[in-house]
Amino acid sequence: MKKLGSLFRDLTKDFRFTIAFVILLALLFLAILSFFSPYHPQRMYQVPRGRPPSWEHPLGTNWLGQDVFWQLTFAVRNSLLIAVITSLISRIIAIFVGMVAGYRGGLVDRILMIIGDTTMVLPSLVVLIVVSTILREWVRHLTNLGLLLAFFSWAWDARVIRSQILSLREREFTFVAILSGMRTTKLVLKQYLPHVLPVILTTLINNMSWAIGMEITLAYLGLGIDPTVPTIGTMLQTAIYRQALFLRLWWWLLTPIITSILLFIALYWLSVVVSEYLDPRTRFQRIGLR
Amino acid sequence: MKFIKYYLAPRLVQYILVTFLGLSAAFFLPRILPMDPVKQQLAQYQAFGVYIPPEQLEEIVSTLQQLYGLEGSLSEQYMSFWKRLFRGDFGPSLARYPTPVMKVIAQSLPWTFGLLLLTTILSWVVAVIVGGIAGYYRGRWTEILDAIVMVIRPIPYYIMSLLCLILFAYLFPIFPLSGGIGVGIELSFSWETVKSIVEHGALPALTLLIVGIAWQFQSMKLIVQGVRSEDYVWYAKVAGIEEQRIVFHYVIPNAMLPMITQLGLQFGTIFSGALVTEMVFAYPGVGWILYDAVMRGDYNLIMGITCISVLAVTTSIFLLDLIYPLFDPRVRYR
Amino acid sequence: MEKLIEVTNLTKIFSIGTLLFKDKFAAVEEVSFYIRPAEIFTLAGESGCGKTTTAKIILGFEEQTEGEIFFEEKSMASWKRKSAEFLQKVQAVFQNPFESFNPLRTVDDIFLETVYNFQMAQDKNRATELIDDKLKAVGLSFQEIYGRYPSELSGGQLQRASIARALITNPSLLVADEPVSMVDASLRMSIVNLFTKLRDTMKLSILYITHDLATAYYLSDRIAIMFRGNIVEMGPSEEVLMKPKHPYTQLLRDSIPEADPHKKWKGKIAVFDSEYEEYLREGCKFAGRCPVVMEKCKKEIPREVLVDGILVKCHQYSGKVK
Repeated sequence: MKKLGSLFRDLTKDFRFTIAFVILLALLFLAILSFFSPYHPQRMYQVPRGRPPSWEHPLGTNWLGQDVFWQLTFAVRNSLLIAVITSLISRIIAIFVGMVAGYRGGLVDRILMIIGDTTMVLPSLVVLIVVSTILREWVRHLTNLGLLLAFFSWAWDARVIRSQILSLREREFTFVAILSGMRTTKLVLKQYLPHVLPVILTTLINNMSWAIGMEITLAYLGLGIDPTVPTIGTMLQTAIYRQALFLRLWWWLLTPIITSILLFIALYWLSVVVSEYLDPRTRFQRIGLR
Repeated sequence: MKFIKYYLAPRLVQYILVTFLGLSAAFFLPRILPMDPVKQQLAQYQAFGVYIPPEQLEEIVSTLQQLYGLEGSLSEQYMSFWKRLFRGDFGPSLARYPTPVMKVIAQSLPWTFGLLLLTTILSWVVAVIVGGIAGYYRGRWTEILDAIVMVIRPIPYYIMSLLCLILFAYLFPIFPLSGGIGVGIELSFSWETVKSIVEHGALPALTLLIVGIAWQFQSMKLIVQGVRSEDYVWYAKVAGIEEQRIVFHYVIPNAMLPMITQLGLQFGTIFSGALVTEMVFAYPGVGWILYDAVMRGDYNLIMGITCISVLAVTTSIFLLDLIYPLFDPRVRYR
Repeated sequence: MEKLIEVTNLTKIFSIGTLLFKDKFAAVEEVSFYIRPAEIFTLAGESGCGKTTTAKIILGFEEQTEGEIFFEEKSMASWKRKSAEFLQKVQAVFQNPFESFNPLRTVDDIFLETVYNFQMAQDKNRATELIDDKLKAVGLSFQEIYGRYPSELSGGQLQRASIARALITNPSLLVADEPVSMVDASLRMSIVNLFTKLRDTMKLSILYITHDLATAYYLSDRIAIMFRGNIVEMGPSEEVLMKPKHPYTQLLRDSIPEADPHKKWKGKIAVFDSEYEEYLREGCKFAGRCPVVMEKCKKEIPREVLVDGILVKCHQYSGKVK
């Protein structure tokens, strides 16, 4: 616990981390608030429509008669949920594939890498569109969308992990571990995982960003989640579709835009800080500066 | 000869393999999934209250199957898929019946191609130069640039294009809101045409440029920072070579190599990003066509665009692989 | 048992290149030697001559292309490679002490692994005692290493810890790949003396791999000189190093600088073929550098002959068979 405390203090010395952390904390708070919402997220015309921000409705109401603030809480919750599901699943796949490919090598390695390369090279947006169009019903559920998005994001990490394993495999401590009688699975998990985790952490955060971006894009096309379920993407899409701009209901449009920008910046800064912290080269720079 | 053996051949094989896999995936995906487009279409007809006499149902079903390329067994379909692919035949576009899909795509491809080519090259060159200098020298201005990029980089294409749209076409109406060219203007080389094209293309291009530069500037800067601490740079300094020469003849050329490889890996993303931008600006490229096709349920067009996209991306990567040896002499002289 | 481990006609061919086109070369070619129990046997040669590859094959990290290995006079086929029975008897120490330990785990972690995997102790206390014993034998203690990461210890300490770990299973053969080349001079001597002590008290045999002839001379009973994958001379170390017969051994011995300012170094600088070309050469691999090279050497591979009890692979002697 003490280690975590000093780690935290170390990180906060970088203003980017502090800001990012605060933003994420605020968003998390919003997401939790959604459980206390007085309004049902999907029903319309619950409040007078088109009202600008006021005490009663901190972010105003939209043209469909919904409170923008409470909509936002649900949107943040759902978007974060998708992001977490996608990145967790894709990391797990990546670890598994990367380790097997890296340690086994040979034909298994080649096949896995070719499959991975193909998913990377394909323009993901296009394929996502195709699948979403055909599987309209299935994709409506959050978890399924997360799964689909995860399908496209494991390949890069798997490659990174694989190359790490390839080099770790030739290092002398691997030989010593084998000589000490360690079995393969145990060796890979116990000895290699600590090396691999730092990279995974960084890419996990990046993946979350990407997943939300994709969700937003798909929502714009009317694909993906059921449009009545609030996510940042669907909020944005509904606002545009319902001519928020022309109706001068700028708070309706700006809320999802600003929230998403804040979210992206926070996630990105977090990932940069984490990766800089873990990279031994930049560590020296920071120590020198303090 | 060695070059071809060790460099060219493996990449050619990879290119063909990945393209083949990608296109096959495009073929199999809709067929594996539990939805039948024919049934969907029929359901739509019924939803619209169209009456189909039972005797004609079979004929309609088989016509639809032909349209979608779904007749015959799976292997027969697969064969005919490839045959038609080589002919460039994706069937008629369902929304613009009976215009063949290929024609629709061919009309929109130049717009996307022009936009992409221009912005990619421009953003890459700018990023390499500015990023190279920023990575090498330290100063107030590099930190300012850093801060700007920090904020811009995480923003995805979609949001960025929306922002540009709102800012420059709505709030301050400098540029037109949508389209690729003014209404009623003919395609020729007249000043009016060119001006209109540039006007309409400015915002999409701006979006792609901003996002592209932000991404690549950051990569370049990181790479250059790494290269700067390499022994041969230090050696050059000690040998008395002037700094400007070091930056432009030693550091940047070496840093360019991983940048080129990265560019190849990012092609999928850049392509998708361009499509999204087109959708927002209603720019008549492949993206806009795709959006339209999705909205109208134009199955054939979607398939066609998917296949062409896969081809476009893999071919671009392969071409990039071919150009790479021009920059990296180690590959040439092995 | 006459021979603890015997290697016959060991050959390892590597191919480099891509999927479609390959080039082959032999890193180890027709290598044969044996080691007796309680004997220190040195495999010496310059970098890249194949000695580490041989060691890896013996340990089971590489598969030989041809040739047989007999351990305790049973063929390797009957021992399963990397099985507990084999590994208990054959252990290794490597060159770089900092690489031998996982930088992200504590040093004692691998000790405990070894103890538990070979079932040398059942509970933590017994295990700690056992480890402490071995550490004391190399001049360390459990206190010193407990909870420490490799970066917190010095190279000398780590290398000694490495040796201690290898001794946990009470092996009969220790493969030591350049164990003292990265260690400073004073520690070097104490480790070398440790090896001698282990041979005498524990009846441990050591396959000592090095490029440093000085320690080889001091330490080993028998020695084999390797060049580009072949053994060119082999025999008792006193004989081989004091009265070398093969031109390469002579060259090696002459290149050891003597600390006498009045003796000038008279060697001529010759430009050699690249390593790659030497490996692919027909005939004797040393022909490119040999000061007494004959026409025959470039075309025919010399046979191995015994001269005064020393095995030599050179055309100078292949005529006079005894």
